[in-house]
Amino acid sequence: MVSQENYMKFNDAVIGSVLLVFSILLLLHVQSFPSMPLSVYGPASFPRLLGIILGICSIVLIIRGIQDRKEVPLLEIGPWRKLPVRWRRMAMIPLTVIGYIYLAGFLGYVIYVFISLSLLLIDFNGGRWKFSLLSSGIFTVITYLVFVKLLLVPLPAGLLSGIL
Amino acid sequence: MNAFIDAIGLVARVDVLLTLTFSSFFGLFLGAIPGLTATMAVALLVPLTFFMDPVPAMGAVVGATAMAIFAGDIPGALLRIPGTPASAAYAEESYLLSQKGELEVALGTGVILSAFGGLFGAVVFIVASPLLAEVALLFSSFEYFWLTLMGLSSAVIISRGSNVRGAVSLALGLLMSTVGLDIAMGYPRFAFGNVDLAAGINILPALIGAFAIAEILRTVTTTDLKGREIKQDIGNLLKGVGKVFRKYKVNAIRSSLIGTFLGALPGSGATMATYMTFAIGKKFSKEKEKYGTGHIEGIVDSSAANNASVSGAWVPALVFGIPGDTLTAIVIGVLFMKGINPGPTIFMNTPEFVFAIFIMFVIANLLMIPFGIGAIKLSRHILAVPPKILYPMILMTTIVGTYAVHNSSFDLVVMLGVGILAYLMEENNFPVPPMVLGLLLGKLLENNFVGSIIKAQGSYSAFFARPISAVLGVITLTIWLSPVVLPILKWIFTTLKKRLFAQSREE
Repeated sequence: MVSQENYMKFNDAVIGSVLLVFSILLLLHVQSFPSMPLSVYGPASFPRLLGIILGICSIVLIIRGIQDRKEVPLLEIGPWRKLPVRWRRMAMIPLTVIGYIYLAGFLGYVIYVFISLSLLLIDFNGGRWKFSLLSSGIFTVITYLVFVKLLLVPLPAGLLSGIL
Repeated sequence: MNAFIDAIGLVARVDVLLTLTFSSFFGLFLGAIPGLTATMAVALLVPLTFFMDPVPAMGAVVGATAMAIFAGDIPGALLRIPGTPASAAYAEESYLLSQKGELEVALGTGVILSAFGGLFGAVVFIVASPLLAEVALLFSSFEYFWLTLMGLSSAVIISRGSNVRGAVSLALGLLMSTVGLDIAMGYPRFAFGNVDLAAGINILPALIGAFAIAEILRTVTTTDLKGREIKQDIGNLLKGVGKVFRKYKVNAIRSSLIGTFLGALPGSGATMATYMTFAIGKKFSKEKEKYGTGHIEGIVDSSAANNASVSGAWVPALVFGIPGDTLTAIVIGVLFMKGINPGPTIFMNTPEFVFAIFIMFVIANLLMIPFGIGAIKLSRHILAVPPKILYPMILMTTIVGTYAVHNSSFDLVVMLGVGILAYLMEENNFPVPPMVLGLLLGKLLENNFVGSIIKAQGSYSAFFARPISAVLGVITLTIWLSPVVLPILKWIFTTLKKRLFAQSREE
């Protein structure tokens, strides 16, 4: 919504093919579900119906994509594709989440959030590290107080357990 | 009456009023910043609501949504950039007005009409939902099955993009809802031996992913992450608004009515309400030529409509458990988490809870006038906050909040997975709301189907045996057939018209 130039668009045939493979795998997988004795309806019924719907839709998408192949390339990315900084920032989002899953338990909430938020802020703000460290510190303290002291949520203490 | 007095007692508490106030500030702030939407504001509040009692939790949502939808108007008038998609329809008109030196009228009208629309929708909500709840009490699993299916189908038909794309989105959401133990046999579907998957996909992390993570991914690829400079001075905001209101009172009432209805219709929401009422307002306007030059009429229509729709969306959400828009989808997710099942029984068992929501709606919409004016006056400072500082902090908030709810890493995986999926879907014009509704309502749909088919001993005709069920069934099937039937009807109509026209010319 912010800007029209940050798009990343696939041809419908590409999306349709992925969905078709997915729906075929889905339909094969639900074959392994047990069936209910004396009943037409079992655990596999609803997912099977959805697999069939997805399959039909994916075929429609593939046909549309092939029809539009002259106008729509397989993958079209806005001008931002040429800027490594945008890709790096985009990659930092999932990395920060995954980092929390694997590191927050060991490092603890305070250390992980302070370090990762500082890195994000330094990158987003063109290397203003003093400002970034300060903002990150304030953020970490406030969220820690809100969650742990106000809402009584146990956040991982990690290396600082016993100190905080 | 006793329930009403109890409800006043529930709301008139320091924690509730403080939550309402803080969430209002939060909503105004996020709504005013371009790129941060009302849905995102609520998604960010979700983890906090998890740790609150139900009444303040609902207060947080009510305050944040009403304010964020209004606040989207502020950068529209100042910068021609809507703060939320719900203000996009009239951002141009409102900016042109400000260029003519009528910034105060544009924003003053925005705040007053937003409050008017919100209160109008709240009154409809207060009057209509207990009545509908009486009807809903008669419903059995057959009616609920059709109603859920109807809601989901209309979400596909209404949503932006083609029906095929809407159907794919819905099917993906429904599929996500099938992960975990099934209702018929208790078989762990799609669990692959994983305990977390066997327990199913939690709705709240998925919602936070769809509305916050997707938005963050989209924004970090944009050029402009700087704060914005506002040069205009802002004078008396209420001067001249009374005159505008008197002149366009018919628009205000009509658009509030349409807005409330569109809010209640699953799949449509505040954004659609503004586009539609703006277009209707223009069609019936006596001064059509003024549109596109900075005309206040369109702002009256759309400002009232988007806030009315926010209130209207609560009607089906509380009465039937079927959300009218993505905001109330989050509300239902929050209620589920609190062990409250929305539906007619909450009107019978805990009427004071429902009345408390009504009261908070009225308070929030009244607070909108002073708070909104304050936000407009402070807009220079709000808009100066650069997104490059905000987005990393919002990301951290989503991570910490989502994790805190269950101390679960799996919830973070769901949030990230759904966030990336929603991002890719939006980039490729697949509407996200049907997926969200599918995930939210999938279990309900399947449970009601299985319950019904067991009651009917396997007979499908039983789905049409009860009168209300039959009517709902026919409406649902009509919605399904509409993409096929409507073009045929249109073709018949145009051919007939051509023939008649040709005949009359021959004569």
